[in-house]
Amino acid sequence: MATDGLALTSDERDLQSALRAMLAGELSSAGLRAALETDAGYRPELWSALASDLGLAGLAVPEEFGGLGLGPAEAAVVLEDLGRVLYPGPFLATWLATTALLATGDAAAHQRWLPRIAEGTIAGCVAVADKAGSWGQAADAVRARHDERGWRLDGARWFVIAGHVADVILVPAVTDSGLSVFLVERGADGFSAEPVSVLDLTRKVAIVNLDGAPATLLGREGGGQAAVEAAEHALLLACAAEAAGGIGWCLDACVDYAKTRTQFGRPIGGFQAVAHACVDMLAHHQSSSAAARYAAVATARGAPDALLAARVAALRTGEAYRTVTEAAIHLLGGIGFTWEHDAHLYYRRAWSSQQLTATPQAHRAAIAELVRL
Amino acid sequence: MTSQPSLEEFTQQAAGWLAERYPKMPRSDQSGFAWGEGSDEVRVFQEPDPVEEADALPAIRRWRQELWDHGYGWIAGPVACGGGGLPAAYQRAFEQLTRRYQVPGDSALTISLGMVAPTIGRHGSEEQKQYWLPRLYSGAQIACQLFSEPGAGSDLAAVAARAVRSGESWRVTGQKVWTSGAHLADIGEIICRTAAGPRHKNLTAFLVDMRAPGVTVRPLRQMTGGAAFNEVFLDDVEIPDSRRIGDEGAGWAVAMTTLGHERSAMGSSSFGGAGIFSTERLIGLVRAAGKDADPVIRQDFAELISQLRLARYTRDVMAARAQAGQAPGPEAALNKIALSDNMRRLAGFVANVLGPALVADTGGWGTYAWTSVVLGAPGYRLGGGTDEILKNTIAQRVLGLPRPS
Repeated sequence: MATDGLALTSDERDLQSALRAMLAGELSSAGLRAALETDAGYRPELWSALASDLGLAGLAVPEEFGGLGLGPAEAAVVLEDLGRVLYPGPFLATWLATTALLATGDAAAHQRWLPRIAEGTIAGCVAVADKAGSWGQAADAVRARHDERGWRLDGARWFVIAGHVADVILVPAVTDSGLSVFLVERGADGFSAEPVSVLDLTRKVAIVNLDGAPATLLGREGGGQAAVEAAEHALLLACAAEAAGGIGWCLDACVDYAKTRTQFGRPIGGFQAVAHACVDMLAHHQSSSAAARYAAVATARGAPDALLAARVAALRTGEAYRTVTEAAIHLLGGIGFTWEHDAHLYYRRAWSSQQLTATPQAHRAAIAELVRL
Repeated sequence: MTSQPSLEEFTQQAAGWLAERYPKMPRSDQSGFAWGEGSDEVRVFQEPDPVEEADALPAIRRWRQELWDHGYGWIAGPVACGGGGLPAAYQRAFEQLTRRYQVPGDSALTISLGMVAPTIGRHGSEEQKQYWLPRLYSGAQIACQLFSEPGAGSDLAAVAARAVRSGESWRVTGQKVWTSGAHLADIGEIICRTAAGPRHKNLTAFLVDMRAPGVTVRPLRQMTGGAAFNEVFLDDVEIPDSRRIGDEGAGWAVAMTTLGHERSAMGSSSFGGAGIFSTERLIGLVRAAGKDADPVIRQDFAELISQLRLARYTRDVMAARAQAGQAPGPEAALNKIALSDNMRRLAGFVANVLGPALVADTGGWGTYAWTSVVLGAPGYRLGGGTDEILKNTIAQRVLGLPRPS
């Protein structure tokens, strides 16, 4: 890919500073923890504000439907900052659902749902993984049949991010014609989303059960592959951008601590072992942020290396996030191992996000294929 | 030229100019690489045969002179010093174009043009810039850098080579080491001690005539078996005061500028389109070893490729930010650390793919040749500042941590 345009544009910088200003006031550690105690796991007021003041609910929704009409590069800018504060609301899930919905090319569904998504009145999610967590291998974990009243889905989807709150759920299912994408509305007969205990306290995950649940086919029957791939590609970008943000938080927390914590009569940041650990975090932050950016811009431009870049970014930032959060807890010492310190929330996110996206082995297998080994 | 040409106009003119003078690269060389064809040489350090290297020098100088005469010698340099006054993007576009032609190239001039010339540009007097920069960019003069000493490695401020003032000139005595290209250079940027103390304020930078009486250059054979560097002995060598760069006692800042450029050059070095990190070369290696269906090797391969791409994306994003005016500070040295890490990963991967064919020459193309990378990799971690010294600098200057000890 040509490398110009990799620096943030002035519009992107404006979006970034508006978002930072809003988050700084709203999402303190205490505020975040209070939100995590609720059933939803996030504060609806903040989500409404992000949706109405900044238009984030409709970030990817075309302007004709009332959205911002922005692409993956801008989404990654937003996700990096949301990842930095472990934002627990349904931005990611809604963005993935919007991406998949757009990829189905279903004009009627766009008319019906996109304006409401852009308003922030409904949240979306995608329900793709099977019980093993695979997005690709076991599409038939949900099967679709057509009866006199329309399409019905049977089966289950696992590890559904924001499945417990989403109003519209995009579900790939197999019909006689192959993989197709359906939309299920919350509250439909035979639909249930069951929240499960999760390692990452800031990201609730549900099991979606479909027992003859009525559904709308999106696009062509048997033509669901493109939407699933678009959502998966978007998830790779999101995982990388959020990791870059979280690593940035760890870096700042550790550097701050290394300057103020004294032992043996001096700030611990003056010890070479501690200083080098901080520099290693800086290196991870720079490369993770750059990889997330590169992959998002390549995707926005439809560059030939876009999918490879997204895989590389997800693999490397996923590993870096785990490494850095572990190193951060170590560097923070005893205080870093307490419940009160936020470090464990990032550690939990790092481990969770990596596995919910794809295992490193799956990324590597895909990379070897993509470069045609 | 009264007004600045557009980038397209410039590129078109430059392509025409190159096509008139130099043959096109054969297509296989342009795309970079075909397994089993041509030389299988892979190297971390350039260790050319000294005779061939000396023979190639006149052509390199002629190439630079041609460039200079036609306004391509220093495209982005200030007009006042003989530069073209065009944006840096024009320089990059020209460099990309040159890869399509069989030109002598600038690989022997990395230090001269990439490190010493920008240092003179930053710290030299107007008179020195007017005098030296056209000479360096036109290839009339080639420069090396004389920094490290046997007793001053990581602790560069401990240099012991002494310069003593004597009227309008200085007399220098001392020993420098790890000097690339000293045997080809006309002048050397040298850091000398000019006072007993205080530390960092007792150093002064000069340009020494490498052919002056009292200068002795000896090749330094490193663990690869080749000699990419030299030792330089200076015995009461005279340097006119007009060749002092910066103020007396200000040599540390001058040295830091040069080292900044060195680290950035090392960090962004791609080792050529079909260099040691080429995806095509590595795919060829795995296939030739018959291991392209081995799931473990495929995982290791993808792990390495992902690390190489990560380093490339990081350099690209940093470069784009620099273009947008957010110039990188000392953190650019992180790219150099990333590259030496990748060098080690590469050596390990290649060893696991080749097995004993790496360590005993079975005659296979692209097998035993990799020993050069295995042997060169440890040196890349040392050159331009060790990982540890670079991290100390970044901790202090980027993160604002106390001086590490």
